[in-house]
Amino acid sequence: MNDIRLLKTQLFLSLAIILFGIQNYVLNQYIFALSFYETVVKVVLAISVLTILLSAIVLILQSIVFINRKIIIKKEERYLAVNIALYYLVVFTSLYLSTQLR
Amino acid sequence: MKAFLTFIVVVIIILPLFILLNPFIWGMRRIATYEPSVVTSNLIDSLNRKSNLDIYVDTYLDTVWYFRDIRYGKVDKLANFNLGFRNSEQKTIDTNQIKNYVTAFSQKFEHKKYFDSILVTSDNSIIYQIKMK
Repeated sequence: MNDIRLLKTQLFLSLAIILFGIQNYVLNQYIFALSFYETVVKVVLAISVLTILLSAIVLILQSIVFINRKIIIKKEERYLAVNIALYYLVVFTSLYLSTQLR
Repeated sequence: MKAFLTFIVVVIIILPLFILLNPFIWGMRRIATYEPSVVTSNLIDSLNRKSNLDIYVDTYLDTVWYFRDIRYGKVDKLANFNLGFRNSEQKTIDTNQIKNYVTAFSQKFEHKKYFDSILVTSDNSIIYQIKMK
């Protein structure tokens, strides 16, 4: 696992989940008028839990590889730091979405 | 040094999983019930003081979802709004007094349109009932 493709995928997934959480927070007065919206929240919640579990594994493996290199690559370190921060935000989003279901 | 740094990063990554995968936190999810707004509880307090009765809100509805469902027309039948009457001194119940109380309450109640009628109960028996328009 030398490349940062996994971290990039994780970054986009995390951003999508966080954006969904923000739009739910802003629009929850109106958007629940859609009959299928509760299912959407359920699906996103399931995706976010899966994302957290997988990205925990990915982050642990990648950080062991990246930190213990002989020559540290700046780009990799930056990706790692950003992804750990996003990972925390996804955990909070997931906990928030779990309160939005009946 | 690098081993220590790796250890710290791994601990940082594992830490939120203790929150997310903790069954005790899932159990701590609050059960949504009817929470009287400040206006309603002030109204009840002032009416209690005025008429010298001990009446409290006895409704256990999940307000968030119930109000939402009504707003989007998913409910066929409106629920009743329960008020409990605490008869601590074991006096005979003065129906007239309660009638005046409930009439005054129903005029100023802000969630009027969400409920069908107001019931006043004491020891699980209905002592007064009024229909809302």
